[in-house]
Amino acid sequence: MDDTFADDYKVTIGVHILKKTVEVQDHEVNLIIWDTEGTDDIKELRKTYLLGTHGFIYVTDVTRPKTYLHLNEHKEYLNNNFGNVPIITVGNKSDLLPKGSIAQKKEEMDFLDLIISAKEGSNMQRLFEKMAKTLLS
Amino acid sequence: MKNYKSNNEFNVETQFISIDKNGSIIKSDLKIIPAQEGTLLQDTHHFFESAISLFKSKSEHIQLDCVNMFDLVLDIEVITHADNSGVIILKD
Repeated sequence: MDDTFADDYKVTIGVHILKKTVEVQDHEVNLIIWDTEGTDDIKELRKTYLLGTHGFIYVTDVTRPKTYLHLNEHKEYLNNNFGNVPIITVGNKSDLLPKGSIAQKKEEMDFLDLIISAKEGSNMQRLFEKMAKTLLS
Repeated sequence: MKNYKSNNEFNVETQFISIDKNGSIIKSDLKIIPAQEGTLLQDTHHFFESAISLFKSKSEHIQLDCVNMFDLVLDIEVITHADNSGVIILKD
């Protein structure tokens, strides 16, 4: 798995399963990532996709407030239904922000753990390492 | 598995994979994905690395729709038995 998405990457219908290996604290950690289709209401997501998960990466779009409006409510739903597993929240599409404004955006969106760009690969490695570290701790 | 096959008429391409408690493929036809008998199912695709962990869950019959693999979108049923062996049914 690369740190960027391919230009010909198809819009997710259902779920794509990807694998990312990261090295943290002298451990090689294999992350099996279930990239599920996006939905406005998390309850619409098929529950079977989330069975047995060890951690969630909740992806919002920094350019669309609608995608993080119900963040806390959705985190609560995940914890209530799938155990008290770690949830890392990210704001994607930082490549669409005006140049030089990412730091300010990060301050404004301090409820997110990371601002990333899947298109450019920005902070993607950091994201996977963060998840691996959290799972190991 | 034979009974299940004979009692159901399928209009879609269907593949049955039977595995033991370690994930080793006991029996499989090769209609949809390459799943050679004697190999580990989890080596076939990343999906199965996760699916194997489902065998330790309490669910005995899990339906996963629209799973993307090998440029296909498959509906997958995971049926586990008490001894952690099981059957995986793929539908294209």
